[in-house]
Order: sequence, then structure tokens, then C-alpha cells
Amino acid sequence: MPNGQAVVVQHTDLYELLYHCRMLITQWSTIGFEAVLLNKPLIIVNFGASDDLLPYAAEKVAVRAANERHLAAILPQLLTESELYAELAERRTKFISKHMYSADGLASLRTADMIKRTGNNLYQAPNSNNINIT
Amino acid sequence: MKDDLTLALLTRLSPQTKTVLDALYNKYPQLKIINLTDNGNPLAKTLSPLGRWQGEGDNFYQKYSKLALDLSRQTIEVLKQDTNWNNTFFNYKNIDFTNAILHQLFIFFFMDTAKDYLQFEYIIKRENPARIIITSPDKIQLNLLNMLAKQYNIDVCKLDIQTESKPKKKHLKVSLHLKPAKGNCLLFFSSHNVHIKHMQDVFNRLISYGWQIKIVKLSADIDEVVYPKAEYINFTIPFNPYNLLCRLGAIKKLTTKPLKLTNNSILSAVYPELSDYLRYRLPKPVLMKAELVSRMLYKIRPTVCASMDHTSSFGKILYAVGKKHNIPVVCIQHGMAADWPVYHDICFDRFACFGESTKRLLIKQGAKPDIFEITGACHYDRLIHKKYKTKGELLKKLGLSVSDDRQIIVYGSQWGTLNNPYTRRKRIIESICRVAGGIDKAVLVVKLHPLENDGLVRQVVS
Repeated sequence: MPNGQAVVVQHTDLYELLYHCRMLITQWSTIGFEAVLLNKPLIIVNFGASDDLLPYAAEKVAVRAANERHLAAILPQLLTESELYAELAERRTKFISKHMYSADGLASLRTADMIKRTGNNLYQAPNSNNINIT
Repeated sequence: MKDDLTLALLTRLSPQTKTVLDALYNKYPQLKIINLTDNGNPLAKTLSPLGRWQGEGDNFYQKYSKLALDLSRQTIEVLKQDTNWNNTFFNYKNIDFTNAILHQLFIFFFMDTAKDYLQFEYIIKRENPARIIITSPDKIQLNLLNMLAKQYNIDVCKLDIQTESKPKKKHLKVSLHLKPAKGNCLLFFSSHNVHIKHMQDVFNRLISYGWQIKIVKLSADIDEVVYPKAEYINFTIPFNPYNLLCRLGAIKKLTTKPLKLTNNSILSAVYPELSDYLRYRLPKPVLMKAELVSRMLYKIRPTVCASMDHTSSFGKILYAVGKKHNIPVVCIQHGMAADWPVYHDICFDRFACFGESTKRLLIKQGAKPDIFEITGACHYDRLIHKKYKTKGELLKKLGLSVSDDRQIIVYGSQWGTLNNPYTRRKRIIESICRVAGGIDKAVLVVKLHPLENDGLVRQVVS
């Protein structure tokens, strides 16, 4: 690899990388979801014969590269405002709504409210007669 | 059969392995060695020429997890017909642990058994050897191999090679005092710092509703600095462990044989290790955790219990104990669910899931439909609200020029597993480097998986 063409990192903030990147390549990692939420195109590298573990390519927010030649054909297209780039962008909203409900940043609020309601609806004082602690 | 072919299966590597293999080469000139250990083990490099276990293909992982689940279910069925087992364990203190036990059997016993069985059978079919020498096998591996050897008419012998001992695990401190909750309280059981990070905004919101947050540390690695507003509780043994072990004596005294054995089944090959596991090892973690949770709930009396452990047996224990104390147990999804046995029969009072797709998948795998509430993923809120650095600041951190106007291509690499072998990972990273390296207007940033430590990517990129 020519000098300065590649950097390897492990503890750099992933979200910072995704926010500033042009695209993400992965095998099947769930970081694909983060990339979709940040509106980035995805390439899934799956050089085997099996189905992808997660449905990025099946639901068209990613392109699956089945071999190196294929990867070489896809990658430059996603570096420009190509038709493929636009197609992937178009599918992201539907994908987010199916798998992550919404990219509205309110998931914590909904979860907290669910916990609160669960406490209000189901909670009863524990009946000490039922507890057998020795 | 290849009459001269001898296979040496390496289940562990040690500094002595090379000497042993050299001796074997002298005795069996047609020796083929297959390394069944972790591909990242640096000792493997000293053992060239060395065949590497490649896996049966992409569906190997699914195949052995399915076999493991089937074996666990068969075992549970036999045990449930035994009244001794049913009364003393499945319904210990009137708490139904069936799901937790199934999970424990599946993960800690049969996953390895199924993997070994399928791996050995695949290698025998592929190589068709006259004899197999296996190094340092455990009893189950040897039994499975002997069973297959009979079937395929092969000689098997074992070679014990001394291995280095592993460092001891860290233990949690003992805490005896638990205060009852004042007002509404969420008792969150966390096995990882990441769970607490993901829940921070949920905790903040509940605090704004007047709730109290108590976090039970299921792991000694949990750092209280991550969320200082909560009260932390060690998950410890607030009573004499000796008493608990005496209580487990009830399990030891069981005299019934838990399994009907036939000579050709995998269950036969794992007996008596399975029997030993069921009597002594399996009850201990399940009952000990159940005892601790039970005492915590009794003393603290939280309004709601919550956890992100939907793939471990702990979540199932928590639910079973919560039911007994009439305290609702909520689970918050923290990773993408897949069609995999650890997601089977999920049971909680409420399950906060990312989206419709997870809900459908988990219902298909046995969960009750009315427990689900679609909330989205809490940790992605941070992604939406985060104040990002400028591109220049990021480039500086990456060691690049701040005025670099090349486009960034990120490759999120994966660590090695049986399903993602070394050779495939190497081929992929080499291809990406060749393709991305040929584009002048782009720079490739490889983000290693937090658990990736075999140096493969750094080696290829350099």
C-alpha cells in the first residue's frame, strides 16, 4: 500500500470517522446501521457463497461486492454523484423506519417512557408471604 | 481411505508442540497437521508447514448452533420427565428456570460439543485419513473422535502436550448492605460499560421524572465514572457461600441417571461429562445468580428491573426471579438480532426493540407478541445529537495533513471467527487495499474491531 494511502486505527471515535467519510465498507458489522443513519453509502464485502448476515444489500442501502473485480467497479462510482449513489440514498429512509424506527434522536425518551409506564401499570408491592429467603 | 495419511489435530498450542511435531514427522512421513486453535495464536507461525482449519463453509456456524440447540432441548426433555430434577432444579423455590437452563446448556456445554463433532466429521470426510493423532483433547473431544473413528474405521490416539496455565479472573468485592429504594427506582443490571453508556440518556430522563437509578455491577470491569449519577451495587455473595454449596448438595444427591444412552448418539459420547456438568456445574451459576437477584429484589424493592442481557442466561434468570417477586423486568435491545438460537424464546415483561424487523424476528423465534414496544436504538440518539469535530481536526488525529482534501473511505474490519477465517479476512483486506490504494483522491481508514488483536490488518496494510 503506498505511503499515506491508508491509516489503521482502533480507538478513534467511530462516529467521527463515519460522519466525515464518503462511504463505509464492511463485511457484516452493525456499524452499517450507523453509516445509514449518517446518510452514507455502504459496500458489503462478501467473497463467500453465503447470504449476508444483515440485510443491507438485500434492502438496497448497500452494494454487495462479491469479488475484487466487482469491488473495483463499485467503489469509484460511490466516490462521485453517480446513479448508484443516488439509488442507495433513496432507500435509506425506508430501511431506517423498518429497522430503527426513526432517526429522530428520541429513542431514549421513548425507552424511558416505556419503563415509567411499565412501573405504573404492572408494579405491585411485593408480597412478603411469597418470598422464601433463608 | 488414504492408507499412509496421518492427521495431527492440534487443539492447543504450546512451546513444546514443535518438538512433538518434529518427532511425529520422523515416525509418519505422510503427516498432515491441522491447527484447530485460534488463528491469531503467535505460536502457529513457528509451526510451519501447518494446515489451517478452514471451516466447512459459510453455514458452519448456523449448523453447529442448531445442533447445539437440538441437543440442549433433548436433554431438557429427558430431565423434565424426572421428578427429582423437576422439583429441585427447574422449580427451585417455585421459580421456573427452564429457559435459563436451556440457555446455559446451549451456550456452555453443547456449543463446543456440536462444533467439535461437526468439525471432526468434516475433516475425516475431507481428508479420509488412516489414523488421527489429537493433541491435548478434553474427554468429550476424545469420545466424539472415538465415536466417529468407529463409524469411519480410523485409528485414533491422543498426545498430551503441556500447556501454559491461564491467569486467574478478577473477582468482585463483597458487599453486605443494600438499602431499600425510596420512591420509584430502576434497578439496572449491567454486564458491560457499553450498556451504561447506551442507557445514559434514558437514566437522565427517568431522573427528571423523579426516579432513582441503581446499577448492579455484573462485571468487575464496570467503571462508575461512566455514569456518576447512579448508585452502584456490587453483584456479590451477601451470605456464606458454604451454605449455598450445602444447599446445592440437594442436586448432588440426585441418583437418577438423567439421560437414556445409546451407543451411537452424541449424547452418549458426552456422557458422563454431561451428567457431571448437570449435577455440579450447571446448577451453581444459575442458582447462585438467582439467589443474589432474589435477595436484591427483596431488599431494594425496585419499581422496575432492566437489563440489556437478552442473549445470555442472566436475562432469563432475572425475568424468572422478577416474576416471583412481582417486579416487572424490562429488556432494552442493544445489538441487532439475527436468526440465531440465542435469540430464541426471549421472555421479559417488556422489550424495547429497535424496529419492526426485530419484533417480527423475535416473535417468529418464540417471544410473546405483546411484550414488544418499538422505541428505536437509544445509543443512536448520540449519533444524531453529537457535536462533531471538523474534518481538519479528525485528519490531524489520524496523522494526516489538515488540508488533505481526499475523500475518506472507512473499512470497519471484523475479527477472526470460525465463520470468518483468517484466509478470508486476509483476502478481503488485500483486495480493499489494492482497490482503494489505486485511487489518488481517496484515503483508506481501517477501523479495527475492538476485539481484533491478531495484527493481520496492520501487517497487510504496511
